[in-house]
Amino acid sequence: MKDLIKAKARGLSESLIKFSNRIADCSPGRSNLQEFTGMISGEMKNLDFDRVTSDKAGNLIGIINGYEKKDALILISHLDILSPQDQKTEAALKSGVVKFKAGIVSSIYAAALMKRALFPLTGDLIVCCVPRLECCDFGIRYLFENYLKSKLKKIRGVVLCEPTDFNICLGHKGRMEYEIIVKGSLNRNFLENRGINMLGTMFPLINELEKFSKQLPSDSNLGFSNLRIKDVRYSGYQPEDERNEFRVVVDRVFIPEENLAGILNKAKAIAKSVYKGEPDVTINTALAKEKVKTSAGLELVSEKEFKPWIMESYHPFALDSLKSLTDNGFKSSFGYWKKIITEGSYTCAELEIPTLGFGAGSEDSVGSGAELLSLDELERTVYGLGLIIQRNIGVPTFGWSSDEI
Amino acid sequence: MILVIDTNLKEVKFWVFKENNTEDPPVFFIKDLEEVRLSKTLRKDILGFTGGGKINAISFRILFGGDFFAKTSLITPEFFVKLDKLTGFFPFYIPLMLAIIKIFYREFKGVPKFAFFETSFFSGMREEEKYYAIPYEFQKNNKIKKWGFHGIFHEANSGMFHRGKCISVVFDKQTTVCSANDGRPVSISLGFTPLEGVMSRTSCGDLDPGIVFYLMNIQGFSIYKIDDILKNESGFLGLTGYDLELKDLVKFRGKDRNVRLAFDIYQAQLLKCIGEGISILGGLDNVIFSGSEVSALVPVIHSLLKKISFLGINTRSLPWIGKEEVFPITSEESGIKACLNRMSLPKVILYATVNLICKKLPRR
Amino acid sequence: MKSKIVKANILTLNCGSSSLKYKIIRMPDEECFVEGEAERVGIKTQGESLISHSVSGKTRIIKTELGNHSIALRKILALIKSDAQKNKEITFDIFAHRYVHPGNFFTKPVKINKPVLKKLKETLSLAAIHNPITYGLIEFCYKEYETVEQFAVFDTAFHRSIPPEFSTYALPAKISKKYGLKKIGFHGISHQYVTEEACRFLKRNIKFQKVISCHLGTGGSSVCAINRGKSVNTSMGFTPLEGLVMNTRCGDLDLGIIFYIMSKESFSPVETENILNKKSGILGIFSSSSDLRDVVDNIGADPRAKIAFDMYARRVKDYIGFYALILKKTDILVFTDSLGVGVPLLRESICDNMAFLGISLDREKNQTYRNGICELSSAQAQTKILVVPTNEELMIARETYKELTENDTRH
Repeated sequence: MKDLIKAKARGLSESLIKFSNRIADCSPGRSNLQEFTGMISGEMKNLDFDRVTSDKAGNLIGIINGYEKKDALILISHLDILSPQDQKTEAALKSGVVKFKAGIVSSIYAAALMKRALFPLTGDLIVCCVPRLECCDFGIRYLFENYLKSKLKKIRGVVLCEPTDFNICLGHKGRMEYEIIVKGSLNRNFLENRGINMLGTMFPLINELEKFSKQLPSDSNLGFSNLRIKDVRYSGYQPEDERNEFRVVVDRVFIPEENLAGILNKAKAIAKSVYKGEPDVTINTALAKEKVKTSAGLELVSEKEFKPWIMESYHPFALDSLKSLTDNGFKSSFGYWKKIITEGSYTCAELEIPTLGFGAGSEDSVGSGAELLSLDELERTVYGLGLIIQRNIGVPTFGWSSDEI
Repeated sequence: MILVIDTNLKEVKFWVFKENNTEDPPVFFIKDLEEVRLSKTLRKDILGFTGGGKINAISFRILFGGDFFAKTSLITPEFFVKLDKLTGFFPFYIPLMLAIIKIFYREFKGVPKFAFFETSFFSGMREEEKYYAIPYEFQKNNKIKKWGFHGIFHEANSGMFHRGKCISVVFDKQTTVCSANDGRPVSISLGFTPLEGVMSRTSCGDLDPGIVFYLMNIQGFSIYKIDDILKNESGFLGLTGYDLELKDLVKFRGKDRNVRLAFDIYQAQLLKCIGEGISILGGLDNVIFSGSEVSALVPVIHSLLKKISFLGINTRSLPWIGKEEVFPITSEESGIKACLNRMSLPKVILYATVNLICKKLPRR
Repeated sequence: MKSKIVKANILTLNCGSSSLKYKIIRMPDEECFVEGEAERVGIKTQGESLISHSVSGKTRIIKTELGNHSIALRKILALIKSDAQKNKEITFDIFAHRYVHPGNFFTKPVKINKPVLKKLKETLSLAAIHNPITYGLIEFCYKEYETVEQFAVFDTAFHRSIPPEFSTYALPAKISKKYGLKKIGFHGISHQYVTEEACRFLKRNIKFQKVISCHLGTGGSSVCAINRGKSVNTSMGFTPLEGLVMNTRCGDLDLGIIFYIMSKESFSPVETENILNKKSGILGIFSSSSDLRDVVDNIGADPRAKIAFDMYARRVKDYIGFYALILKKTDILVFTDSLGVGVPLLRESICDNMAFLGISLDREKNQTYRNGICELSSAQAQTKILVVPTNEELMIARETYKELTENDTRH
């Protein structure tokens, strides 16, 4: 059976190469997003997907119908909507497929492989390409709150097509952006003729936060939490003016034992202790939000939080998927992402759908410039995804099978 | 012209026979499966191979017919509905056959098309013969029973001797042994899956079921791994280490210890099936050996018959030289007669097809 | 070293899953003067646990709690001790255990010592019901009766002579070698015994006889082909699951069914093994009982009884047909154990239509058979058909005695 999947993967390789090259040359930004997504949905239609559609959030959905209507399997790849600056950097990478695009290509072609081989599936195979802004999971939320809402109880599992070095990744830390808003009459750093010493005013808080960042807890599987000051913004120039305000924007990576309320409360407590000598100061903390307007005209407000999640390694979905790889020549094992975040924060941590990740390449090189994948690695990813799909929702093939007879 | 088609997962094989001259060898060609599926000029390509002659019938060999096809079937729209229901038994094969046959159905309208099943012959076997000693309700509900295989050949072989007790052996990718009484099957070595019966190049044949549980429970093998080992890494390959076709392996029988042992085990498994056949039939009149590998395995057949010569089989000495398609290998005085049926499977299907169209179409 | 004629009273111990049969046999005379059986050991049933104990033909029943086999043995030994006080002849010198499956460690009877115990401990999982029970008893005797010699006689040893073309499975050679996967065979003690007795009865030299032995019991059943006194093939394999249809075991089965069941019903390997070992066979088809005698009682009334019976008989016929071809000319066909001895309809059904292979049963003799060793073949049959009640304990005693005298371990 593995020879069959391999042979079908080989049969699709010419088409895969062409598509990979086309997608590699296109850098998706807000201005040309439609062109990019149009390329993907066009390819799904060429590959005979049974249904291809999109929603207002910009999610692309392709479906291969199951022979039976039992639980579905969902392959999720994400689409980074690049800033103009990032678009230029990407264009400078002359060839090869960047990692998030590898996820898109491999998920589409794995599904195409099942269709081409006429492997009967016990449930639908749903391929989703989900748009993502930095730390905003608006895409995946919208997808499950709308198109996939009716399927929520009939999902065998979600496979995240992200770099795992051909291992099965079972979770990662959470990530959020929050703001500490300090407002009020801050007198201590007024310099005559120059106005408020902004840096001097904010420095004690930043310093405390930096000290605190060195004491953060760690998880044995996921690694250390961390804290990074992303931005500081000051408004107001007059001394003793209660409208003076500064905001510290914190990029916080956290582990499952921490939660949103706890983190915000702690941040507030730190700020309060720094400014405790200041009677007219109020301190608030809040999760950062971003307004998103999609190309379909949908307006959303997205909270900037990706929850941490871990799947148990004894879960049948995880075990079956790993075994499908190791039974067929992959030297895969269970692992966890240490750096990147994925849609698993929503599917697993919030919706409690069994979730895991599989793909080529290592997360370490994401963002480093050395993100390119060879076509061999891409084909191997398609093969591995095919094995995972077959093991989880393929009609069992014991009994009379293929060429042995 | 009659077109006989046999498909596996990689390629489609075609034999074109002239109806009025079945002695001439057929025109034979192979096409890649994907090529056939995606071709826009299939009809034209095939007529090119047939020299433009009129095709009077197309016959497909189908490996599995389940309960729905108790005999050769004329292909109609209802045929596709029924065949689709068998997908659960043969998930890698049925959807493909459906796709291929649909293409021919569309491209060759007006030409009668027949489906020959390797399992239909055994629908005539008594129900009790098909059961296993596992919980009865479970078998019934899940349609677990002996389906049989190589029915096309076994039916032709046992049909040669309308009366009498016959054991038919087919040597192909799998080897099967069928016992028949007066042309009706009473036992078959290959049952629910190709894992049962006689070993093949890569499959293990009959095996202690306890070994499967031992490997799973004590040694931690998964069912997928064991399934792969038993189907693809056992048999002659597993015993000898040589990845060779049987017709090549048999040449090493006298020279390599492992190859000799492998063939001895193969022979023992054949003896088991033949012994079962004799005890059920209560005797034996004829033994027929056939299949694509029959000529290559002549030394094995000779050795096998020698082992059971005490039953009254007087085997001719090797070499067995002769051109007849049905070639006797026992002497005139032999109490039990044995022969080789060297007819190819497409030819067996051809003759059966001719019979059908003569019955179906008005004579010219 | 020459063997001396020594006398020995051998206490044989033969465990079932919930029983313990014992005999004290005086060797070399083969006289059994004490025998008995502890029934319903370690199980809760409607009936009470008891020991049925006979001395020189006089039987008494002792109802008593038998929590496990060691407790049963302790009580049996107490009974023997109390009998010995009345009759000094009632003694035993040696324990001899029937041990079902010693893996690849032992191919003939062995005297128990520390190294042997250590090896046996590694084999417990090979016969998950019987081995641990027997091992427990051996350990018990080793500790509490230090000075008394102990021997283990193996059910598998008789089959060590099966040639490679019948004992090798068509599996990858590396895997077979690594895990010791080959046909081991069971009921060896019984098959050996009935073969010896059959030849003795017919006054034929065992070295020139070709025998097919059918050990058909209410528990396990197996067929064995014996040539010149040595086993050349048997129906059970690496495990007792292979071969004939049995009370709750499926016997020969298409392995694809195992995978099909597991994937379709999401059964675990343990659950599936349980179904094929404990819920299949006669019980699987007939469902009301796992005992063929109950099936026979219901043949007229219940179509499933007919199917179960036919399937059982048919599978035995299949193996007889196979072994008849291996042996070429079968001299003797033997039926033994509870079903082989106790169900004439079964013998009739198995032998029906087998004249071609020289097997032909005399119906009247078959129907009128009551007990003991008896010939049932028709006058013109080539093959002699015998019923030989098994006596595993006597065989155990014989083998132990042979081991004892050949190795001259006694002073």
